[in-house]
Amino acid sequence: MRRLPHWQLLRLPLLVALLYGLPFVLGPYWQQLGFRALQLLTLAIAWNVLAAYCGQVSLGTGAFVGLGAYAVALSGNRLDLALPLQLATAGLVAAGFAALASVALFRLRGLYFTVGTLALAEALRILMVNLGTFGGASGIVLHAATPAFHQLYWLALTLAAFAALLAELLLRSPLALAMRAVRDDEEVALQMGVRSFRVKLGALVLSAVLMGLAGGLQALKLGVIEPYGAFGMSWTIDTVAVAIIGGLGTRIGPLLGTLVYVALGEVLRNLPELHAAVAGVFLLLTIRFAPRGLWSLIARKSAHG
Amino acid sequence: MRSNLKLALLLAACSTFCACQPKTADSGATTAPSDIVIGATIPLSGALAGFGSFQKWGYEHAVAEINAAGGLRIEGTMRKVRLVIRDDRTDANVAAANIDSLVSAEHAVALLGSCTPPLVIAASLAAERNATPIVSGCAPLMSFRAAKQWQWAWDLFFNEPELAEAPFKAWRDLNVASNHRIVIMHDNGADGTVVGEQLWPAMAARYGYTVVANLEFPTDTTDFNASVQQAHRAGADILMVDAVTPQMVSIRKQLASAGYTPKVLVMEKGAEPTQFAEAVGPLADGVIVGGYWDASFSHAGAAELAAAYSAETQHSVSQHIADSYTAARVLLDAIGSAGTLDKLKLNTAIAATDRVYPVGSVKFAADHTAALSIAELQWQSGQTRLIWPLSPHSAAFLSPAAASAAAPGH
Amino acid sequence: MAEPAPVAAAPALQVRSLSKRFGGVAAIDALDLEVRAGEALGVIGPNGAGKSTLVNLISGALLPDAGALLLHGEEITTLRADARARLGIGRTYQIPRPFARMSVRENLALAARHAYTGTESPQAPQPIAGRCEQILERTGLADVADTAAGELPLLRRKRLELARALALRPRLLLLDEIGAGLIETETRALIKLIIELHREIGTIVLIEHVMDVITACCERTAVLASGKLLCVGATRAVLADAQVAAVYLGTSEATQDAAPADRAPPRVSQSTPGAVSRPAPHSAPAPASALLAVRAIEVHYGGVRVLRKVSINVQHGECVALLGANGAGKTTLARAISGAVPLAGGAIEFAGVALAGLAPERVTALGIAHCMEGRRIFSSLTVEDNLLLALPRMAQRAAAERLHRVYQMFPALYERRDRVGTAMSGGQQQMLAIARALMSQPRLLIFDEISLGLAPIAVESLYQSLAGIRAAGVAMLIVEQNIQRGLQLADRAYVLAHGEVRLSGTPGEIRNSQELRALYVGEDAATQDAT
Repeated sequence: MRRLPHWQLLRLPLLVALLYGLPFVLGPYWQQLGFRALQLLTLAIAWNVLAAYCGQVSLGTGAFVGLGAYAVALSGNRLDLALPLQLATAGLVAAGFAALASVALFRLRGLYFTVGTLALAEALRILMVNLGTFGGASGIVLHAATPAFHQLYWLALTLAAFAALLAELLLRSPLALAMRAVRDDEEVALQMGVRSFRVKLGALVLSAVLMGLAGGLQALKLGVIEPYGAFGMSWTIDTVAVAIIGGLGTRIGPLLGTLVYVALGEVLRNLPELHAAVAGVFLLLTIRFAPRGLWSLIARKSAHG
Repeated sequence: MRSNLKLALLLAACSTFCACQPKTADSGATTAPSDIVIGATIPLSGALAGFGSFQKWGYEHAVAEINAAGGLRIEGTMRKVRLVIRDDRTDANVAAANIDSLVSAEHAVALLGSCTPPLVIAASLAAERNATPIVSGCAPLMSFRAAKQWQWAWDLFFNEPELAEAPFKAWRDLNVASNHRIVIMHDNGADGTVVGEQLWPAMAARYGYTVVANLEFPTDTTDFNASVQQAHRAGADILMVDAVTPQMVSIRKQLASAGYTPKVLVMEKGAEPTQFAEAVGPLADGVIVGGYWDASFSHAGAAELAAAYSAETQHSVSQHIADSYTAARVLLDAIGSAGTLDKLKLNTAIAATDRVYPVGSVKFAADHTAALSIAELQWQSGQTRLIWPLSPHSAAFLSPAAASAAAPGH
Repeated sequence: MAEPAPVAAAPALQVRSLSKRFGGVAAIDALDLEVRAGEALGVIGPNGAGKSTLVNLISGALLPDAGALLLHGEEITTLRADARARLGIGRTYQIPRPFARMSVRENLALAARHAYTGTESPQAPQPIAGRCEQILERTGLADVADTAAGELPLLRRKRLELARALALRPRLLLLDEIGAGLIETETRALIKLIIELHREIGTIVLIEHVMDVITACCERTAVLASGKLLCVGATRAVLADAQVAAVYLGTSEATQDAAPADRAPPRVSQSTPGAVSRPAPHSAPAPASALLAVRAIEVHYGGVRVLRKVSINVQHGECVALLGANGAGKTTLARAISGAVPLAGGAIEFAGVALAGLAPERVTALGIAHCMEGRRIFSSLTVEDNLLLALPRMAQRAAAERLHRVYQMFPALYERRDRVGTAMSGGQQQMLAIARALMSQPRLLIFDEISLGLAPIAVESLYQSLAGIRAAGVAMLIVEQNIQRGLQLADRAYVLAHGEVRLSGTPGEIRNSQELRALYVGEDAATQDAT
């Protein structure tokens, strides 16, 4: 992906245009599947930037997803904001929270940081359960009608394209180098004058915005949100699973991981007892035999062939 | 690459010209399947798995009955019913996703709902968007009604105000003696707040009782010692608690360890499943819990349903088999009477439901809810007994104080 | 040589009664030191004198317990590392710390982006690429520019440290032992590079054990001992000082001329191969009864043949040296023997057992212990725990006895047995690594560049220990850059070049070989020397 010939540069917008046309060809089933895949893709891209490029392994996906969902619900119900503004609110709220949390989080390094992020979603969930003004444990029903499947699909596609573009721009910017330096050895990066706090904050805020937007879409899709589902652990698990299966620190990894993970879910959808177990075993096998993700296997194959 | 690009452009152009409207239905549904597909999402794992197991039996039992009778007559031919059950893992996100895929991937013509307002409402909203009827039997009507004006979703359960009023009516009818002082403890969940904050205080005032303390706690509290001590000190004969089962078990045990035995102990919602009695043992005796069904009800089929459950599972009966069985029957009967799989006609047939089922008589109001009649049950020697409304089958009231005196272990 | 500093300018760095304690031990103890603007100051001292701690304190990796630091007259004592870097302090690491998953070029680009410009803003991206290319060429890293830095061998990583410092272009550069483990020509190149650096950067603090680098680059030198300044002054005078000689260079080095030739420290540029002689027992190779027989092995790294039909053998109780320039394939051969690198051809037999395809831990279990370059001590464990961890499960009962034997060989370890492994100096850590290898009572010990980065006196005692091990009858294979040191100890030696064995025989035979010099320093360097 380093220096693309110009016809290859056209490929991505073309692909996105083609994907926008899908609802004209494929029905609700594929639109729903597409929504889920694109939402997961967004989350995985966001996580990949923070964890794989900046080295800050976060288990706080649920926190930002939940905040985004609440922001959309509340800004729609109480402030009567238009949809784009609702989503903007979701991004802003998630970003604001990330900035706030960073003060405490970045005092922690490595595994401690990871555990700290794990506590974020839990703390927010407890807060929302206790905050009667935001619906308490029973949650909030959105006043606006839920969008149709194809509209949700288009929203998710727009978000995923935005996420991919943002990640691409970031990775081509000088900031990416500083991020990777912080990942490889924060102490040495500091010793070169890198303001590691700002670099990590940038990555955290960017991933929080994308996750918040993904959560906002979830609120639109459900039409109702409550703390347990919005800040649920499954957001974190799904995100990390997708990112790991696909391959950390690559551009294609999140996409590949999403496709495999969603396909796996569909194949096993009528065997719910097996689903969690098979997904877990798949994840373990990936970590054991392709620790750098499925994409590394394919990339290696094609390099040899 | 050039030909590749042309092909892609052609494809894109084609797709835009062929259908200028996004597709809202899959074409796959036309392959005349021999079975009528009913989809259900229920909590088979997670916090509400206890309810899910009863719902599963109720739904499956209703479908089995219909299939044993040859199925349903659709457009003149008898067709069997196939029930597809998905686990929503007590997660509203999953409940909604289940509904979407039950309709789009399994081609379900109608749906059966989950349990508790968050899951039922999430699933119902999803069903609305899929324009597919859904009948649920496990969400109190007030919160269901408050969500929106439903078009495709139906709910048969009790009305919170009636359930909140029932203990007061029962004490009046049973002449339960007390100092008329009440302590209320409730969680801040969906109906915990409604019942504990609004309904019980209002009913207490109407029936001449004084609420001396009203203690709220977050839904996932585990240590209730402070509240229990506070309740103990308030000097009330009556303690009314609204919480889910795990919390209710903790509260009952912590009441006992604090040495606090109120004369009248109402433990709404959480004390209802058998898991509660199994967890607290003899401490369950004397605990009053509101209900809407008991095997001793006189409605047609009530005793038979209870007998079928006990025979199949060897477990003690829960009232949740009655509302889930009835929800499924209401849906299946509506399909039968509509005689078609047209969803709109099906929905109209559900609206027209007016029959007595094992759970009681079911007739939907304009807001898509059907209220079940309320009963007061009391745990006595490890069994729930009907104590109100008074009937030849109802048992005598047992004070927790008397029960703990009778049980030397406590 | 550095130009003398302008007299009027404020000192580049003032260290004022600086102290740093670790636990109860004072690593730096009320140290006063001045680095003049524009000078290259050498800092020497025995292992454990506090040199690396001083670098960490100046660069901001550590904050002092007491005292003050002034950079060009400005107080920087409480500034954090990144702030100091932006004020123009740069450093290298003794054990290189490249950004492992970034390419060499990216490592440089990051440093170049943060180059000191007198203002706080990073450089514009345009000139960066060009400057990086230049530095890659100058430091000989151009051929690995796109390799992940973590995949470089140790000496190349050290080179990258220097390249990164070049890209960073600080006002004050701290060079922490960059000269260790180089052969003659490389050292000469390094000296040239440091002098250039000095011209470009201005002020350099050079911590070094390689005396030639110090004498060639530094007009002034400071000597640290036990966290205190022993003396500072003109380099020649300092090195001639009797006290310094006693503390640092080892007693036998008090005067260079009086030193017996075979005890010479690593004086790369002055040692002449022919001058050394040592009667070596000539044990004729007898492959049939060999303890280790390597037969025509081939090793490929991503399509490149690193070893070509290499055959060597080691007899029971024999000490064999593996010599050759950087990149000749010595380390690869050592790693192939211990199972860490897969073979593309050939066979390895140890005590009659074929090793090909065995996992490293199986090879270890057969009795081959590998002491690697870079020390790999478990940093959170005590010395004794590090030793006990190396004990095979079968030998748990013999723990006390084996500890006793190892401590006899390394009394310094016994004194520090309850200390955490990394609280020791580099030389002590290396001894621990060797002691750890001995715990399993191996039949063959492979030493890979174990003297890298050690003070001359520590190298002396290390090689004395090796002689002790040899006397105990353990066969040894020693990978060594320094011909003299290798040949002094070995019974036989092999010289590798470009992945092939080019020369083998007794030390005497090798020393007298006409080929040796050309092989070792490389044909190009040899012809350059001739002109």
